[in-house]
Amino acid sequence: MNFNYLDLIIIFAYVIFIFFAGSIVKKYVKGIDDYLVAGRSMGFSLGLISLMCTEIGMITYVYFAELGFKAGLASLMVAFPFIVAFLFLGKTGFVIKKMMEMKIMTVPEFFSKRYSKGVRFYLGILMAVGGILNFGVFPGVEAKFINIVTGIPEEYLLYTMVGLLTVVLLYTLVGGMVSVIVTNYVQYVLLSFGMIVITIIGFNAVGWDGIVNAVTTQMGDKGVNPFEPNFFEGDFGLGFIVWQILMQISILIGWQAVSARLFASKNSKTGQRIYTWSALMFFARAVLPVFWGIIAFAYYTNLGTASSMEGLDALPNLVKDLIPHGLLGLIFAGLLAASMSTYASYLLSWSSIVSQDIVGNAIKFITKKDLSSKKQLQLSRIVMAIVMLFIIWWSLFHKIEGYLYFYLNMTAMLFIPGTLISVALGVYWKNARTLGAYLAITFGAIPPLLYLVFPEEITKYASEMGYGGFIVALIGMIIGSVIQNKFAPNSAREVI
Amino acid sequence: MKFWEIFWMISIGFALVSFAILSVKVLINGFQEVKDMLTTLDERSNDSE
Repeated sequence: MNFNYLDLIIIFAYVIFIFFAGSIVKKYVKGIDDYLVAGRSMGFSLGLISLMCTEIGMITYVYFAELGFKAGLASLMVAFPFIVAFLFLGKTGFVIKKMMEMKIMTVPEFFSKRYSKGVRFYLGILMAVGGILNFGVFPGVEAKFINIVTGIPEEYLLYTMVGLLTVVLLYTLVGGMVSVIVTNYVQYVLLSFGMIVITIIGFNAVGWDGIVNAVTTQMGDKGVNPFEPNFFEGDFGLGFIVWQILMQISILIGWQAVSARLFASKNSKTGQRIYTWSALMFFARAVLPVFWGIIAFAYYTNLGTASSMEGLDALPNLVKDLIPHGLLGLIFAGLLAASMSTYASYLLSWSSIVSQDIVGNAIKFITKKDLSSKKQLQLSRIVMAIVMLFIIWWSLFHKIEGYLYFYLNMTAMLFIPGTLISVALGVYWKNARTLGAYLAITFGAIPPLLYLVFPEEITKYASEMGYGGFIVALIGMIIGSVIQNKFAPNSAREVI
Repeated sequence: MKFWEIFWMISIGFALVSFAILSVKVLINGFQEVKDMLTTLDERSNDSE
């Protein structure tokens, strides 16, 4: 066991405190509005905190650190598209302003209003598959992180996963948006403190010269210059940047766990302001963990163990080896809590898409009757249990090729290009039609599907597959809309 | 090569400092917002009772 009594006391006290705070706040929740969107009472600072807590879990740190550990300083380029995407949406209100004015709560809802219920159903399937495959690697990666930091032997991975998910399930049941927002506030205190402390302690351990030396001697120019061998062919070159900017814009519009925070804000002005300032927060959310990976690379290169270490194990080992007791307990508690809010949010998001948008709609279509609210609740619980079992199974048996970050991006890409193109053109192009939306979603899913099915052959073309998804989705939308406008010009069309 | 070393050093420094300042700011303002939110919800639930 790597923890001493002080660490353990801090961790248990913190987890109990979070549950206690959550259940105290629960008394304020009187209706579904309070439960889902905190009565639309979320202000700017809480919105920012809540967004950060949802989008930061142990896995976030692990995949960014893996990039830094394997690709060096050049991989810091991954942080810049976040700034571009957030500032663009925050300043222009592109698409999101319209959606907030329409009082849209979920992206699929937009599809049934603008196109058809069939498109919504189809998108729901891809969203569920992409989202669950994405979520499916969380327990395995995080349980491994916990095992390395705590010193629990690797053969107990399954038990750690089950333990982690049980705590999460309890947390979700306590939940509701009000308690999530309040507990997020407490979590953010530790989270921000931990991020700054790890950076300073890690940097002190190796120094800037030590980092540059290790990276340049082991990785060469490629480890420092993202445009090596040239602007177009570098791993983090132009293709990567274009793909990531499009990807991040799409996620801010179509990723339910993120856009739910936007829709919960007081008004569209607050929502846009949250996105504008999130640019800086999300820049740090990427830069700092990538930097920890680079620190880990320099640190273990000096010890001579870097070459035998897996990229995903770099960060937990660094935390275990460098952070002193007491502080270790505090930081670990913060990480655990961060993961809990991410899990709660993701579990609710993806399970609700399966139970409401897919299964619920299918039952309604077959029986021609609405499900009673009791049956809906039962269905959601069954789906949640199935999703949990699936992600444990997937975590145990799925082997990830290439960077974890790219795998996670590609699972999201199954529906993201089609979503962005259909939403953007649906808002701004009056000729966008249902057939166009079907083709955009289908075409956009092909490149990521190839990446996920043939990972070994295609890993090195990740960027091309990435921006290619958006190009073919756009082509699909134009072709489909032109065909439908030509051959069925009188079919129903709603223009916003 | 020197250009990139300096560029990354500035980026990391900027990320760390701006994150620290912004975090302190949102935590201070967020505390007041938590109190306001709970007061609003409390008043609303009292009214409905």
